[in-house]
Amino acid sequence: MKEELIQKLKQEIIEVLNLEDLTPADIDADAPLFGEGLGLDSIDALELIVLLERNYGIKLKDAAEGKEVFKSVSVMADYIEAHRTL
Amino acid sequence: MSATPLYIRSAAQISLQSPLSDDWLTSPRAVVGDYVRAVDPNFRDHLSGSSSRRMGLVLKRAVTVAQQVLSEAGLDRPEAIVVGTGLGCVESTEKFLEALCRTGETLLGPTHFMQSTHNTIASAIAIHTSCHGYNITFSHKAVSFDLALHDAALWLLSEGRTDAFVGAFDEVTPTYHVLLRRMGFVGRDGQVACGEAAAGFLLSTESDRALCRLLAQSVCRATGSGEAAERLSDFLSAHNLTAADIDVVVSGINGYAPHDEAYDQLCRYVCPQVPVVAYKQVFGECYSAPALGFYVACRLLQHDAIPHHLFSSAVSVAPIRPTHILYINHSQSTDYAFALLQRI
Repeated sequence: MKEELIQKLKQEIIEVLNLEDLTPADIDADAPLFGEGLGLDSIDALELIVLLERNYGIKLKDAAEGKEVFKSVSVMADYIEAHRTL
Repeated sequence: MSATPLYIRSAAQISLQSPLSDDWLTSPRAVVGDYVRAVDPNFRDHLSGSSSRRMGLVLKRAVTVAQQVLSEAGLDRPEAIVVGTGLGCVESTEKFLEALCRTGETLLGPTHFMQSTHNTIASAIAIHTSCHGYNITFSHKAVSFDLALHDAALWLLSEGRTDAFVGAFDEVTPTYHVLLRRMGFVGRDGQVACGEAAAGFLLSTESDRALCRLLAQSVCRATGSGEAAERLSDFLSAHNLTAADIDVVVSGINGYAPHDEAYDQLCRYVCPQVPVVAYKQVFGECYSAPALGFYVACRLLQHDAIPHHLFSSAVSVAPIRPTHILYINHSQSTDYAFALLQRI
């Protein structure tokens, strides 16, 4: 179940962030999304916040929460499983 | 314009013709249909995936053109970036508005919003070239490029600087094409196709490897063809030139008779004997098309003959090796722009 969600998330991240050079297989589910790993930035963080709300009905309330949730794809998947409303 | 000479040191285009190339001079691509999208280069050859992943089409074209212009001039960055655009990043604007309509005023991603302003084009070029200098965008329909060129020239002369990147960029989405038709800007009887344009130039006070010299440039408003002709005569005489000194006029005629009438009258009054070159049958019509006319003028001054497919009439014209080219543009027969280019 979680593995399925991780694959779906990877695909959604590639699409919403226009990571045209990547395939889901290129993304390590446990690698950091920001800084190292995918090297995303603050604009990407906003796109991911919108993705969580639009696709999973999750509203992040503060930036600190986002920092935790977006640690990696795997952490995102855990958070989505626990909080999704869609 | 002051005594300090100005030159066009390099130029590049992405349009309906082969991109970043001058193939249009010898083997122009046929323009078929009333709405034709630009022929894009393989952007991967010019931009890294990471640097362009948020860019819409017009931004990719603008940054690629700017890179080519700077590379041809042997520069890493210009001192200023001055851009004209009629519609800005209209594709991103549409995506942002569609999301707004689809989801209400919530759940809007930042990327398309950030790119939905007109000045994103000049900003993207600045970010890409690390240019922290003067950066401005002019958005005035079909004289956007002319105002950008004018401002860049004034900036170089008044600030005592050397180089400015000047360009004009417009993408036309299918939705906006419909709107332009409804507005009567394109799609009229006899008119050339609606196209897209991305053209850039390095305007400089240095002549090193320059394509041509920009002798003078002016933008003015005139009510009626008589006043416009008067302004053009004044423009020429202010630079001690007469119609006899002009070898060719590069005109923005587009096949729609009422629009072309303003050009015809200007040429009839001021320079009736001078052959007229047209470019919109090759490059199409859009708000930034005049920048392609200016591009054509710059390139013709490097060649020894003008190809026949550029002459506006079928009347046979003797081979011309132009020394002075007069570029004319108008918008709605009220805003006029003139530029004089000289072979060097």
